[in-house]
Amino acid sequence: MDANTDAAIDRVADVLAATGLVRRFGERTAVDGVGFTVASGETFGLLGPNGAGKTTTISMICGLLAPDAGAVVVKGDPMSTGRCAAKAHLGLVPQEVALYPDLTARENLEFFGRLQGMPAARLRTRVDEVLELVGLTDRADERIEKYSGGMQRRGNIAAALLHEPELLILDEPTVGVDPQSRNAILTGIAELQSSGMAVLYTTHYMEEAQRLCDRIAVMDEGRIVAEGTTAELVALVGEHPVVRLSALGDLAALEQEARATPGVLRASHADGRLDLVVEGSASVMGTLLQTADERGVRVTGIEVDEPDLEDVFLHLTGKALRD
Amino acid sequence: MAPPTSAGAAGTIARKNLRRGLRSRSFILMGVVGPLVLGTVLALAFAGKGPSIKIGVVDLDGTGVSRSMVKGLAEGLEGSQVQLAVRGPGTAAAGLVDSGDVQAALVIPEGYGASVSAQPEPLQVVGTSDNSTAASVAEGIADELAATTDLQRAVAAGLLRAGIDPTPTLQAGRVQPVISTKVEPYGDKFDAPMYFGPLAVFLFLGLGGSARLLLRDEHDGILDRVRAAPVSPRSIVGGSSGAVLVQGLVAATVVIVGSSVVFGASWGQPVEVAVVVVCFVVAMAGLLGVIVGVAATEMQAESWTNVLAFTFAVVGGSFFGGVVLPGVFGFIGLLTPNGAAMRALIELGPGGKSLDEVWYLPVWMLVLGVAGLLVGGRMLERRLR
Repeated sequence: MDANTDAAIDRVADVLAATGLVRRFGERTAVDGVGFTVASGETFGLLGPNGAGKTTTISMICGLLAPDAGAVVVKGDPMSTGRCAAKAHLGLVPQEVALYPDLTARENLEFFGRLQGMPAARLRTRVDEVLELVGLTDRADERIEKYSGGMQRRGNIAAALLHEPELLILDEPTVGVDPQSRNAILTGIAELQSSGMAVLYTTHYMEEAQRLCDRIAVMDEGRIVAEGTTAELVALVGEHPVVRLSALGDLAALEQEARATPGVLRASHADGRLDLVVEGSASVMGTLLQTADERGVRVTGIEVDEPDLEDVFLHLTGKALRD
Repeated sequence: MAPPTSAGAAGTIARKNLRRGLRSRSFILMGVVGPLVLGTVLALAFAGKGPSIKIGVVDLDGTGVSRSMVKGLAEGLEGSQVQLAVRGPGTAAAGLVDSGDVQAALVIPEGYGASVSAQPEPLQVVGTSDNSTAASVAEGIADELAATTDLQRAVAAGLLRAGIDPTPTLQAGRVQPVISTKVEPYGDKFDAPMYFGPLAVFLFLGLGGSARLLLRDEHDGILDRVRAAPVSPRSIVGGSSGAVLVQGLVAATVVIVGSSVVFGASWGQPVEVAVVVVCFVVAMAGLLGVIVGVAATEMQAESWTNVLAFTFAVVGGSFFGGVVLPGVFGFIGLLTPNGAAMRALIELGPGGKSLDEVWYLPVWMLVLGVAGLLVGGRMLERRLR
């Protein structure tokens, strides 16, 4: 056991401890020194664009890929690519639907339950429970290939929940899913947090990460470039809200007034719109609207753009999350 | 919750693959329907017929003894693919063969009948190198007749010693030639290999689909979910191989039993046939294991399987009733699982040899299969780690 593994085992309070993970494919380093922990009841997000190294990291955590360096420990058990105790603690929801299309949902769940070593009686009960949970009870005995995309996604998640894992790993589970099913999936995952399950969630949708995750690691080019809560990450890069006023009247004069207003950091106008970078949008808004009224400027629309993870990512990497 | 044992996990994977296989129309078509239909068509077209060999008999002797011999010969060959064309003393045997009227000729020399009780005149065979099979058949018949003549001489000597004139006995044809010469593989044992030939090819193609499930699951990402469970690579490979073996045995059993019950095919002693079929299926599974272990993609594995299946079919004689090619090709044909299995089944057919005499054929298939399973399994395990 190397120093990385010892360090990971020391974090016994964590369900998952990954330290110094490195994985190379030829000359290319896909993951370079990634490490983080996930505690019980916590949802941890890996946020990054396609190709950032999220899936490679997940593959090493699940024992699908051996790291070139670093270690993964799940509930105190070191992970390896062979048959190991650590794998019994986790449930994986792969990016693509990983169910046998020519078997029914029930048959799929029974198969994956048996692979986890679930006793027959418990398996039968649990299959019914999970089918109910994901809303597939009525069509449990239909083949997966006859399901809609959204239903297949729900089945995909059900197979990972069957054995009540202590760590649930979801690799971009909403890619290609319609908005209704996506919302149902996100709501379901949020409910799992209350059960005390640790969740590792990868996505390149920043709104999903913001909605679900207690902590987020921003990944780019195989490295974690920042880690923390959404608020911590936004504060880290010092981003401020932007207020956009659509208005009719003398916007040049209003811009001059705005620059002199406390809390307004920057102001500019163009095409009937005044953009203001502010500190604390709520307190500044009242003053600005009053000034506009006094100058005879009629405000036709207000838009407040709070800084988000997209801005954080742009700030940290110099590129957009969707690149 | 304790993870499943390695054997338990392998069993779970094998059961799942079998369930998927039974739902696969292509496997049922390839493994069961195809061989039954094609085997029946081939058997109906060729069974019991085979290539006709026409042998001329030129009776230069013309005595009652020679006539009775020819009569007995004709009766002995009745129903076989060897036809006799009897010609009188005025016919030249070489001319008969040269004209293509017959493929080989047997000449009963003048004075043959008179010499029965003394030193017989030797029988002559006229053949051509163009048709060595017909010449071989004619030689076989000549040998049998010579043996019969020896028997006739013995009978004549016995009768003479007892003071009885042997001529009426010999002329009445009471001592008949025993014709045991047969042209392999045709004859009574023809129909079973006719079913096994297509079975071998279709089964290889059908089982190839089952073996490739592992590559398809890898491509579709399902294998990742299996590997993320507490299951060893060995269990995954073992379960997949087990399913291929069981599927192969079930399909072969259905074809063999079905062809026996429905179409009356004769396969020979059941236990011996079962040994050959089990070894054949193991050989198929082993070769498929190597293909799946080496191939990078499902499509690549499918291409290699198709090429190998049709190569084996041609070299092993799958669609020709197990006809062995001449020379080194014949030996190579026996090295293929198809060829080895068909040869073994032909030899073990009704009235044929016992397993003790052809043991090397199933043993070869078993060696081939076990080696393939070990090599292919090892490659797949490394790939899954």
